[in-house]
Formats: sequence, structure tokens, C-alpha cells
Amino acid sequence: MSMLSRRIFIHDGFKVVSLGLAMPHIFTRAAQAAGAEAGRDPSALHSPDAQSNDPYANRTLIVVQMAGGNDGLNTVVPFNDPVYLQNRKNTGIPEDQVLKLDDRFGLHPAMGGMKSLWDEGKMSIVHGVGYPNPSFSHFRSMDIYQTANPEGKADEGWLAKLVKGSVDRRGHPFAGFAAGGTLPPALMSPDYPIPAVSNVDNYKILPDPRYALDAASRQDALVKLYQNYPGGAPFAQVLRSTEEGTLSSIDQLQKAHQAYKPAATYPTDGFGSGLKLLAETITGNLGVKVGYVTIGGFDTHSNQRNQHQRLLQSMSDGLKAFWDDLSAQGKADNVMIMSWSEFGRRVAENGSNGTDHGTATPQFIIANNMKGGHWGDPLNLSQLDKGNLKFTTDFRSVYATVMDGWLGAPADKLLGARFPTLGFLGNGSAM
Amino acid sequence: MSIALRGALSRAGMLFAGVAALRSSLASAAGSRNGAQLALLDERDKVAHLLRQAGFGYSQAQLDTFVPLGVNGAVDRLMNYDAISDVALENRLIDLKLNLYNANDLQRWWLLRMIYTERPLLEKMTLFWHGLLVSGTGKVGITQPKKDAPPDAPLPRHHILEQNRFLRANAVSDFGSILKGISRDPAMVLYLDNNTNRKGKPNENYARELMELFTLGQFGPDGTANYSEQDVREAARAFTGWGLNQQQEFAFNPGQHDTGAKTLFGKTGNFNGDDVIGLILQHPSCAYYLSKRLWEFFAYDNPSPETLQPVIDAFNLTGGTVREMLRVIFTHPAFYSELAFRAKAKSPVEYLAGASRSLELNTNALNYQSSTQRMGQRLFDPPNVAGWPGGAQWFNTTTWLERVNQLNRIVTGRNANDVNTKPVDFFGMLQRNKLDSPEKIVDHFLRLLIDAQVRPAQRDTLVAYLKDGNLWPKPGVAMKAADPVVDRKVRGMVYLIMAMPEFNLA
Repeated sequence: MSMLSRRIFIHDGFKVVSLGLAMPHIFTRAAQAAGAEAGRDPSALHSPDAQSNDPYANRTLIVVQMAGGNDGLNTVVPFNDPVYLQNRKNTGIPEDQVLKLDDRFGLHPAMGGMKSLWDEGKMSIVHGVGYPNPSFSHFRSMDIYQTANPEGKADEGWLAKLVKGSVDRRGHPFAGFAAGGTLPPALMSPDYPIPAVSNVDNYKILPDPRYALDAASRQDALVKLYQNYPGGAPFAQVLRSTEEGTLSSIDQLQKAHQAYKPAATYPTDGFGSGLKLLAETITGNLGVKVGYVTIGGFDTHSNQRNQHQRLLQSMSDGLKAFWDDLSAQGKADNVMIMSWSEFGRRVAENGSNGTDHGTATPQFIIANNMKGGHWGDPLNLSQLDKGNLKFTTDFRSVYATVMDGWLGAPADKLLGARFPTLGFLGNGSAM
Repeated sequence: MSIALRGALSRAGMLFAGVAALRSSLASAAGSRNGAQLALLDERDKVAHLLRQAGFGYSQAQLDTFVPLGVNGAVDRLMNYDAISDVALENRLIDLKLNLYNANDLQRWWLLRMIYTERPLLEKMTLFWHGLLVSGTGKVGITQPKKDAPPDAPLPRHHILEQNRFLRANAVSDFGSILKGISRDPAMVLYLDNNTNRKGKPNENYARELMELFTLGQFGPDGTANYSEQDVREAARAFTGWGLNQQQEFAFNPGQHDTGAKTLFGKTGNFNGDDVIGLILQHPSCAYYLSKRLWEFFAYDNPSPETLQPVIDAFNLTGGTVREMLRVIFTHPAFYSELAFRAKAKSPVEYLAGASRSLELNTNALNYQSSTQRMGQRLFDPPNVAGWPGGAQWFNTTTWLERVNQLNRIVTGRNANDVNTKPVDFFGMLQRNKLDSPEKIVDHFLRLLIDAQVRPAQRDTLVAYLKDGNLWPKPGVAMKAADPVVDRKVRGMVYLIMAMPEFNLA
């Protein structure tokens, strides 16, 4: 990447794009438009921007939220630290059960799928992720991660800000996409609609079955009624942008859905279906820059063993299937996965065979052509703050690395401060 | 004023500024509705507003019952619900023979209560408590009756239904009784793990959420922390041994209770769970927190300190009696001000129950629960212990689509033999109200559904839609139910009004 193209990008990245004017559809197909510019039939082109000299053009970031506070110590197990099992007599995972990464760390035994990605050098583990003055509230801590703001306050989520303010070198807006029927706060903006989809088969406007011909007239009226809702009235921005965003995303999503044939077998749980949906948007060339999926239930205060096993199995199997699918469809090189969780758990287990709210926890990064391995300093289990781990890596450093190095977005500007980047994209050395 | 209180808004986190900005633009919006009347000027509109906020909307007949009472009389009628018979609803539910051990039927059971109750405030308050003192079937589960059990065998405990009945029975009680009850409620004990909260190695789950989400919030009105991490740990110790017995009933297990001295909010003693609740009730942020949660549930977000003070006073003067707090809210001038007009996003159940009430729908609510789930609300199973975040977060592309699509299913139902949902009698509504022109029809439904407060351009759009296609009968020719203008256009127009932003708000 030349400095020149980077500057253009950053400059363009802060043109505010007005949705209604800039694009007829929410998924602006940068690729399609590029093909049309070159006088080719856009529909015949699978990935026309491959010829572009912009290395970021077709890249996608997939964010995986592990909601509830993932017990990092039982996920990336420091099996040779005796303090670990001393604190985890009932819930700890002994050395002979972990999937060893090296002589210090092993993955939870349910994570065979992710272990194979690690073995291929396609996975990084960022250790000790957290932030200063940690909150033990799920909700405040999630707010902090989702806004990338230490007070958890902002007028939109950090990913919405990334998607909304940025355009690629041709001026096409980024698209965001949330798998699941709930839009995560990280992708929320009062005036910029990001589709949240749980089931594409339901993702359409039902007509009056007896008068299908009336559908256009009825929908025209609906659009006008929303346009004429006063702009300063309550919820005007969110309602109008939701209505516009919905109507402008249905057709392309249906098209991508019909064309998609999975090349791997996904787990049949909600997380697996979410990943499959994300794969549809990627193989369908919808121009999705940021995709999002949540796996919930990590708040393991009691009987942690079975619950945590089930969740990590689901996550690991799902991500492996997703990666296999994308690889078979020739898309994996353009995708990066980043996981996060609002906090880890207390080092010492409680009396319920579970763990209470804690602090730092690892993040996983998955990508081809990445410098896999351990990043960030490992946590010290012997130097605690009132029983809690002291974080070693600020989560905004991970965000900055991904925004800057993977998407070519101006991380300093988006985060409001400069955070040191980590080296997993190739320009640094692992610990 | 910057309030760092964790409430509905701060849970929405990044929408903090956005919603605040919307709020401040409200007053000007109310005055610029292009010639439409200002919000809530007359008694009819005020009563209609009250029935949306304190209930689930109204049919024309229900409105006609309440409006002559005036605002104060309407408040009395809503609040004195014990004096009102709900036997028609109970009979309807009995006739349906729902299996309440089935999670879908259980949700229908409550949705039907919301649609058909004559005690709307009772159901609305039960919903308030469900969203504040949260437990959910995702964790608690529903133990199924044994298939081969003899017919007279006792049914298994139904924790989440029992919790719902507890909340309904105590809907307007004093907060202390509600907290003492919910701390012993088996669904809650299981949901927040107090069943395994043991001496020596306490489980903090209940103690933390009790303070953070149920009673105090993390921060007081001036932004200072309401409790410390040490307070959480000490309160957890006080609740050790508060678990369930073999019969799945609440039981105090003295052997697992930590009898040592605990220090909470700077006071030290051998506290138990009830003592913790007592200390919480005396905490100055408790009255504030509950008052604010109630105000934001019924009126609008971020009330000014002056607005909230009478509600706080009612808490302090009456020992936290919710009934008295509600009376202050429903008779508060700010509750009827332009700040409160359409200031709430209707939750999915409010939206669907409200639409059903307005259209006098006769339904057994089959599959209504799948619809509200697609809209983002699964009754008896909120997304997490903070309940539904609500507000702007009710609206995203999927949930908005389901709102309009469920409307479509309701208004286009035409099969008179449908055993689940009878067709809406649109033609009867036109005849009863002598609606014989496009303008009269539009005005009638605009008034019924959204107080007729719309921009002229919106009204014009609806009239044009009705006239489109030249389906109107010639002068002197009477309309019939099967006329396309009725069968197609009136249905479509009602769909459009209920899809409008205005009907999505309360």
C-alpha cells in the first residue's frame, strides 16, 4: 500500500456520506460499481476489485461477541502455573486435558476447531485484554467495549462510527451487518441503519395476499408517511433510518441468500446460523465491511463446567466451519475474525462451582496471512488486585490494530487517541 | 445536567447523547406539527394518553368508558382495579385450555391478558416488574409434568409462572415487601444462583444485581458510586444460605449462612438478606432509582430533578408504597406535557396488544408469541438480567419488518371460519361511525389510533391511497363489505396508520 492511496482513503473516510443520496441500496456493491466503471457486465464479475490496487477494498471484519464475561483462564489455560489449579479446585482444567499450544498455554478441550486454525498459523491470542479502573458490571463494561469510550458514553457504537464515517477509495460507503434479530450497541447509530437479520426467509414485506397488485401503492404510501414524519419529533431519526434501511436492503439480501450454497457443515445452533448468514453476505459480495455475531451465556456463576464446555464447543466448531466455508469459496483471505468479551472471571472460583465477575480476558484474532501466536503480556496470577487480574493490553490497542492494519481506517481519529498497535498483522514480534 | 445513573438510557450506552438530543428537540417538534393541534390539549387526548401509558391502548368502546370520567376519574378507575371484574378474561383463558408448561402457551397466556384485561394497569405493572426484577426461563427452565404420572399427581413447581403471579399480586405493594418476596422467589433464587450461595465461598450474582439493577443503580444522581465492590461481597455474605429445599421451595439453610459481622454502606452488623434490603431501602438512591425507573417506564426518559421530586417524596412518605408513587405520576402535570407525548417507543407486546385492542380483535393469540419474539421480546425470558433495553433499541430492520408484517396478517385476515383469529369487522366500523367518504374514514382512524395528530401531508397520503384506483362507489350507491374500496383499501389504510412512526410510539 502506498502512502498516497492511504491518504486518499483517510481523506475520503471523513466525507460524511448522506445515505439517501449516496446509494440506492444499503449494500453498495463497490465491486459492482467498479466493474460498471470499466464497462463490464457487473453481474458477471465475481470479484472485480481484485484488480484494484486498494488492498483494503474487499476486506471484512467479523466481530464475535462472547456475552456474559468469558472465563479466559479456562479458555486459554495457563496449565503450568500452579496458582491456577490452586484457585480452581473444582472448575480448573488439568494439564492432561488441555489442547496444548506450547509449554505454557493450552486451549479448553472443546476448542479443537480453533486449535487446528492455531496450528496452521491462522490464529492469534491477545492476552490480558482489559482497561483501567475495570467495571464489574456487565452492562457498564459492555458499554465501554461497545463505544470504545472509558465512560461507556458516546452517541453511537464504535463499529457504527467506523462503518458510517468511512467510504472506500471510490467513495462507496461501508456496510455493516448484524447476524441475529438484535442490533448490537457497537453497531448502533441514531441515524445510520445497519441491518440486523436473523432469518432471511422472513426478511421481506408481506403483501395483502388477496391484492398483491396493491403492494406497490401501499408501500409508496408507507414511504411517504415516514418521509413526512417531522424530523425533530421523537425517535424520528431511528424510525426513518430503520424504515429506509429495511426497504433498501431486502432485495440484495434475498438475492445473496438464494445464490448461497454453504461449502461446510455449520453447527445447527444460533451461533452457527449467524455465521452462515455472515458467510452469505460475504460470498454474495454485499460490500459488508463489518459483520457481527453474538454467542451468549458466558456468565458462569455456577456449575460452570458443562455450560462453558458447551459454549466453547459451539464457538470453536462454528468458527472452524465458517473458515472452511470461506476458504472453499475463495473468500477467507479477505476476512478477519475478532472475538471479545466484557470481562473475564475472578481467579478464585466461588462455592457454586462457578466464577464471579472479574477483569482481563483474552481476545482471539483469526485470519490467513497473519502472524499467529501470542500477543500482549500474559497475565500474572500471583499479583492480583483484590483477587482480580491486572490487565496487560488495552482493548483499544486491539481495536486500533484491526482498524488501522486490517481495514485501513484512521484508528487514532475514530478512537480519539493513539493506542499502540499489536504486531499480529505482520509488523511486530510475538512474545 | 449530566446524570450518570445506570438506567434505561445508560444501558443504551452510546445512545445517551442521541436520545438526549432527541429529548431537547421535542418541545420544538411539538410546536411545529404543521398546524396539527398541540399535544394533549383536551381531556379526551389526555385520557387516551393515560390508557396508552398505564395500559395497552384501547378500543373505541374502552375509550368511551374512560373519557367521561375525566383524567382523575380515569386514574381512579385504573388504580382501583380490585373493584373491576376480570371474569371475562379469566373465562376466555380457561376456555382455551392452554398448557402453561409449554413456553409458547405461557407467553400467549400473558399476551391474552394484556389484550383482554379490564385491569390494564395491573398487567402493565406486572410487565414493569418483569423488566426490573428479572428472571427468565432460559436459565430457570420449566420443569415438565411426567408423561406417565397419574392424573391426580401434583404438578411440578412452575417457578417462572409463580414469580409472575407474585409480581401481579404485589404489583402496587410497598417496595420492601416486593424485594423481600423476590429474594425468596424460587425463580429468582435459581436465576441469580443464590441457591448455591454458601458460607465461606459466597456467590456474588444476586447481591450485585440486587444493587446494580434492582434497587440502586451504580451511580447516584450526582454521579457518585452508590456502593463499592466490597459492599457487593459483604451483601453476598448476608444472603448465604438463602436457597431452596428438596421441594424447590425457599428455605433458609442456617448451616450455610455466614453469621460473621458484615459491613455494608459503612454500617456493621451480623446482617442477613432482609437486613441488606432494609439498608438498601434507607439508601438515598433507592427512592430516586425506583422513581426514575417508574417515570421512564410510564412517561419519558431523563426527567428533571424537579419533575421527579414528588414521586421520590411519595416513596419517602409512604414507606415505598408503589401505589402512591403511581398516583403521583399519573396526576403529574409533566405526565401530560408535550415532553410525554409519543415519548415512549412501544415495546412489542405493547404494540401488538395495542393494535389488537384498537381493532377489537377476537383472537386466541396463536403464534403471537413468535411474532413478539421476532420483534425482539420473548415474555418470561428477557435477554439478560437487565431486562429489555427498550427505547430506540426496539427498532432495527428485523424488528421493524415484523411489526409491519404482523399488522398485515391481522388486517388482511378474511376467513370468517378461522378458529384462531376472526377477521376484523372493518365494514361494521364504517357503518357504526357513518363513514362514507375517504376523508371521513381517514380522519376517524387517525383519531382512534393516533389522536389525529399528524402532518397534513401524512393525512393527504392516506386519503390519496384510499382514492387511488378509482374504486370509490358512485354517488348514491351504498358501500358494501365486499367492495374493493373496503376489502382492499380500508384494510390497507389501517395497516398504514398502524405502521406509521406515530403508532409505534406511546
